[in-house]
Amino acid sequence: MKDEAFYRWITFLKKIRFGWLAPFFLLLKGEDPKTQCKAIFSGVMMPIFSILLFLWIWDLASKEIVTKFGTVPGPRQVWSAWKSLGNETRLERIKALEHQHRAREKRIVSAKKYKEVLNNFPGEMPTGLLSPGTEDALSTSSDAFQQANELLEVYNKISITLSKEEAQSVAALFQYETSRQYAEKVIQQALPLEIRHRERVEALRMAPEWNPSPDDPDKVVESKSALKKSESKKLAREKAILLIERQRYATEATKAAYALITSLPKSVRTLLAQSDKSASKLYPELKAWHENLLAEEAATGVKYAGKVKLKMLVKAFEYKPYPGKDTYFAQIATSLKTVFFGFCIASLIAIPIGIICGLSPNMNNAINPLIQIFKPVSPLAWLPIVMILVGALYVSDDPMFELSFLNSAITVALCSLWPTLVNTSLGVSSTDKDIMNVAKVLKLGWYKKVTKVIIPSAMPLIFTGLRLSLGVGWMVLIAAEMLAQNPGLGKFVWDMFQNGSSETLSMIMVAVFTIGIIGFMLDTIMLSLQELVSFD
Amino acid sequence: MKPLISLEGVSKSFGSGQQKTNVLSNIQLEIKEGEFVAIVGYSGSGKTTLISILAGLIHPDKGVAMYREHPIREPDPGRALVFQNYSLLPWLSVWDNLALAVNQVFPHWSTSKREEHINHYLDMVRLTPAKRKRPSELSGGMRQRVALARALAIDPEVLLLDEPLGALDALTRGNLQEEIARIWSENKKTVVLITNDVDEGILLADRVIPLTRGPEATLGQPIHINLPRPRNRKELNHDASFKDFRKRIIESLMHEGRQPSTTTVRRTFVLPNILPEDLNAPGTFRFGRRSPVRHEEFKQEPLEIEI
Repeated sequence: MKDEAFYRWITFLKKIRFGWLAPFFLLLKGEDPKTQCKAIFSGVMMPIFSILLFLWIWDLASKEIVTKFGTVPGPRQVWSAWKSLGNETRLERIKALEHQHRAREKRIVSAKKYKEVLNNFPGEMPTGLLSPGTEDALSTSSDAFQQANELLEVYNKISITLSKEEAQSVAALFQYETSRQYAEKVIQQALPLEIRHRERVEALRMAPEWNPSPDDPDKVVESKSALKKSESKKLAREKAILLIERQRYATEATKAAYALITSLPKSVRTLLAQSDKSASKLYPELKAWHENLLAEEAATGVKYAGKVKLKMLVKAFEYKPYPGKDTYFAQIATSLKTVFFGFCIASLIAIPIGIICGLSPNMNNAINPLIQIFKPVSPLAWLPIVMILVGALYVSDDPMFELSFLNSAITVALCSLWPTLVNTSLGVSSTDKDIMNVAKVLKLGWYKKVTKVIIPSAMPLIFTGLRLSLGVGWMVLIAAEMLAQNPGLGKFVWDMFQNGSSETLSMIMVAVFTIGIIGFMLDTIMLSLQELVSFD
Repeated sequence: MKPLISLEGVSKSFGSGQQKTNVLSNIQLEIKEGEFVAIVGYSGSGKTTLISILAGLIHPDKGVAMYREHPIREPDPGRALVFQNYSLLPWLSVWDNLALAVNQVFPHWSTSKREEHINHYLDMVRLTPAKRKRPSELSGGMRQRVALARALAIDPEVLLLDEPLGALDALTRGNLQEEIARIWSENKKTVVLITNDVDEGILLADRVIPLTRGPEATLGQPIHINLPRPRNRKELNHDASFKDFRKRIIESLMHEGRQPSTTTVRRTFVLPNILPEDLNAPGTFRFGRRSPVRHEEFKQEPLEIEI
């Protein structure tokens, strides 16, 4: 029985494309070691070997080619660029935490101040005005006063929670400060090293490029150019190495700071998040109170002291997200979101149409020419049309999606629609004839026939279509993002290409690998799903 | 007694124009209630077409197919069909395959009654241990038993078996034949069995009707098998009347059918005008200076092939 579960697990592994792990388990189980070793060799060692070979050839080749951005980055430079992107992300997170923390501080301060004002409020309350309509004014003003008192109550609630938070966070804040100090210390430690490296670069740069030999001028010229060539190559390599070194120090420093911040009691971050959450909840309430009071004031002509401070309080409770720039991982997330959104639109359109086409040959013949015409259209041709149409049709004061996001998502949908459509219709129309006869003999109704017989039998092909669609969508996305300026991987590549720094090439290569690996992962996931729904 | 099923002068052809083939012509058949009829014929003689007409999946061009004195217009769960290739839904377990049919045919039953019903038929074909398995995990014989159970579970009046054992090996076939005989003796349903195995027909049926070789196949003289039941295959092999039945059926199949459609056609094929490379040609070879002699050596000869 246990054996059966084990072999089911092995089959499952193979289904989800982790079949290369199977020989290890089988080896542990004590199956024929020779066969398993052979399987490990071909399934695990060979891919690793080819990857290593690729890296080695790349490393060798990269040293030989010099472009205007320096030498072509080798695997090590790309790895370091990848690390620096991680570093940037950590820094951004630290900054975001700081931002949250500062907002919270501001909230506490302005709430405290306003509490004071409210406490002294009755004293400053005007007792009456002698102009006509005094009584009205009085009554309204007393209404306003009552409102103010209610506000006070609400505020008391807030302040109680705030002071609790405050008490909780004192210790946490202290730790946060120390962590910052520590991080700075690490950076300080790293600094002299970097300075030393810079000096070395400078020295190398300033070093005489050649030693002329006075005897033979011709030889001198020759050796000069040769020397210059070799020196510049050396310098470029040195520079690349230094870049990596610098990256390493910076990464270490931020890592330390980040580690300290993340190792803080979770309470700090939850506190900050809570503060943001409660603030965003209270904000509309406070704003309404404030506007009400202003209106009352306008009606009665009564001046409230602390009005300005109420405004401050309202403003402090407004939730403002950290306005930092998008990190690499945020860009990856945007890309994934875009591709999934587009893929979902495509599937929602393609699967029903595919089913209809598969069910009725007439429909299929009617729609087929359209499919054949639109299928080969490149995303670059769709995008301008999509941009114009979306720009014209999607007009909203408070848009749920950004235009660039919609543009690239719809372009992805338009391009990835077709494989699902074609495969679904093929799957539906190729339902086994005998199975259809079974449905006929059982007198299944149309709906039951479609849901219980036709769609399940078309499932493997539908999933094949979905898998192809997702692959196409991911490929198209990068181009669409580049053009639509949607903050994703495509834009990252474009920005890197535009800024032309010494890291341009390695950053783009990081993006290439990221795109490749994510595409591979998406494909694997879809392939596993496809395997899991197939019934053979 | 009125026949349960009757075919009167049924003909069916497929295709049109030049490609038209008359599969069945002038079929006369009457089947009484509770009878086990076997229709034996060569493969490709239109047996499946015949049973599809009985099921209502296709309609005859000429003549009428009647069921309980009404023309057969569409398939009905009352005439359950078992296919040669099982036609189980491969994405459903054995249990779910039966449940789909049972839920469809008996929607007003309570859930527990339906479950009991399904269990009963799974038990009848001895597949209770495999009820959670999918068809792909079962052997051919087991799959055909599931298909049989599914057909029986919708409680049909007529069971149409379209070469149910055709795809099975001889041993499994024998076992399943016994199983079908047992199930029939328990249920006493009307059964129409289509087969290409004469022995199978004699073993199972009350009446064996030969179907002549197609095209334009028609039914021969029915042969009543009055062997006592239960019939034992091993004993039957030495039974004189069994041998006699077999002889009569085979003779009827051989003689009533027209000569097999192997007419000889003479066609002339002209081989393409390609000169074989002369491997023994002189070593010095130049363009444009091929020996003219070689052209004469290979004459084109029409080749006659008999088909």
